[in-house]
Amino acid sequence: MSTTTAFPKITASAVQAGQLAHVARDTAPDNPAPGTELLRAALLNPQDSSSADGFRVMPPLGLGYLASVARAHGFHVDIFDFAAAERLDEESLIRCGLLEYEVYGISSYTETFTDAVKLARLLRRRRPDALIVLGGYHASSAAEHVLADVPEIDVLVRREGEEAFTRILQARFAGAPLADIPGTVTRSAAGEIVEGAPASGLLSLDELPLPALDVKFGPEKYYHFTHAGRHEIKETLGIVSSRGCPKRCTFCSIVVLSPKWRARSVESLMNEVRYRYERKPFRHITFQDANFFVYPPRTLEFARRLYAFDPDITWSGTATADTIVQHAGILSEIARLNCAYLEVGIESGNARSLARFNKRTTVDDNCQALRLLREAGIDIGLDFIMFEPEMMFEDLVENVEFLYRNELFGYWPADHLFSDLRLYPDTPVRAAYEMRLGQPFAPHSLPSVPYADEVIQAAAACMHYYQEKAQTVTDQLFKSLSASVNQLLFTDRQALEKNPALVHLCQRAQETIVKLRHLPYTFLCDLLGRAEALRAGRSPQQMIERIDWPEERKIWEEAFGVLGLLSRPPAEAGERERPS
Amino acid sequence: MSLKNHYARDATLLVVEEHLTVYLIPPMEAPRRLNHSASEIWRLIEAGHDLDGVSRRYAEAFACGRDEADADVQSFVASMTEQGFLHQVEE
Repeated sequence: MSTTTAFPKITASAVQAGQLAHVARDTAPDNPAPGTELLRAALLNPQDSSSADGFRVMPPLGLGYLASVARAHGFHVDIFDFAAAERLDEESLIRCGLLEYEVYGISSYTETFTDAVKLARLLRRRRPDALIVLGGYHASSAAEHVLADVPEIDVLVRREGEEAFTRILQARFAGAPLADIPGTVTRSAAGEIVEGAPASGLLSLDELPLPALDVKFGPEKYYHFTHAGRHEIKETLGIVSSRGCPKRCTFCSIVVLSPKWRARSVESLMNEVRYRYERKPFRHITFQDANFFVYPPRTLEFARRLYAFDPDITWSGTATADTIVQHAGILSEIARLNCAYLEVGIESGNARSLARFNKRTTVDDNCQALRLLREAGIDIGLDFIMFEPEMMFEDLVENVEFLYRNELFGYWPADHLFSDLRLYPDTPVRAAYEMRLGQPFAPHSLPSVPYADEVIQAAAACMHYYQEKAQTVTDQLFKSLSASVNQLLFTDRQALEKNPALVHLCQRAQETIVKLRHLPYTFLCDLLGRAEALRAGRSPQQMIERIDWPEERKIWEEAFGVLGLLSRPPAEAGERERPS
Repeated sequence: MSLKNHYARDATLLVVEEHLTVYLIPPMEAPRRLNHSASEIWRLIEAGHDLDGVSRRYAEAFACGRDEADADVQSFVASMTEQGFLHQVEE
């Protein structure tokens, strides 16, 4: 089989006919070469040991697209999602049947690169003849370094990988050389790194088959949207409606993978909605796009058609503040049409950081966007970078004031209080620091650079220390208490109605949750009040030991107490807690 | 709604305040978070002021005119009463 023929369009006719049957595993692919199903490939999402948040585990739709395109060409492809796995060793790989494949495709972010390499090494040890491919953001942005540093990896796929990964499978199946496949980087027999031609162009998103959702190994369940206003935890469908982003924020690596913003048509989205709904009804759609709300007429048309399809399905997406402000006129309409939540790239509450980030948004825009969303009744997801190396103390104060002024104290998760600017490979901000420091950073690292203001340096260190030592406890208690309360309010409501003491206990649990939400905000405010001590260069440990966390300890004890009572059977829990 | 009236919270309501933000926790429902201005009105009502006193102090706190303050206070109280969170106290 040649690997140099034009990549065939797989699905145009099926999409035009409104049929997407080729997505299903049990239907025949479009003219595969005989025997291709004998080549078994596994697509792997590595563990993410850098993230402690297993609360919003999303389905790996990027791998789902790779799988569905390869399947449409006849290959047998399975998906293994280890994102939420607690441990990963040879024994666990054997147990989940991962050693039976000939080709492995591993996805990678810079944060998960270490975990991806660990996975590649485990596989190489047990499957010396298998082909191991790495794709995703980190493979795209640090390709030459990856191949030079990790001999276990054979091939890299750069940028969007549907075409390249399928061509790799075709080459492997045909026994053809891997070099020269567009969009890949390989090693020659002499060990030299060989970059293939650029991929033959960006595929039309409407012509891609729907991503495969069947996961052979993965978390017990994926993210379910909690719609507090409607007392519902909703079966949720993840959809990718666009790729890339038209913005050029200096810190963002999205454009490394998809340099141009492209969107699927509303027709294509509704085809997916209908196809998925017929097989497994859902009550909420989460758009897993980098920037969903770029072209509001598309958003509005989709919202209208989804509402006509089923007026009870809610949806959520991503947006930037300037687009929200520019299109304020449609917010109340999309809220009426069930937009429940928009995650907004606010990023900062001070003008100087926004300018350095090239956000092309003002602090007023950010305030206005948040106000408009609240007025429309759309819940807000917050993307925010609290610390960045160039900021001065007054910038940090403005960031905190911004959160307070915009009613974001108590917003959970509180990750944004601890977040600092990450210097991702191949981003303008990283290149600028490399130029300033006169040397490149270690390619697989997310490096730290010195802060211009020593107080910011100390405050960031304190917050990171607090996150590690205290916020992890708070988050865990928050999750456990929220799960118990949601269970009572949403699922065991009838039991709750019959037990007034349990109702009161549930209220107390919610009171404790509110207090837990506010703890890290109190800590940050206390820290700002101790600027002089920070300037004196006390270590985070010294600072925190002085504070001694009395408030944290009190609320944690309260939370443990309520959790203990809630963990008893409902009738017994009620017996032990009388309203007072 | 007379501005001479006093209001009190419903007895089943649990109220918690953090960073000057008031949360109302009714039985069997998710908490309601009041925004800064609504939180201020709630605090003034809880302090025992009649609506006239609430409105006067609210106008001072938020540097707005009395008409605007009266409208904000009356609208807030009407909404809270409708949801069963506040009720009028017998004089």
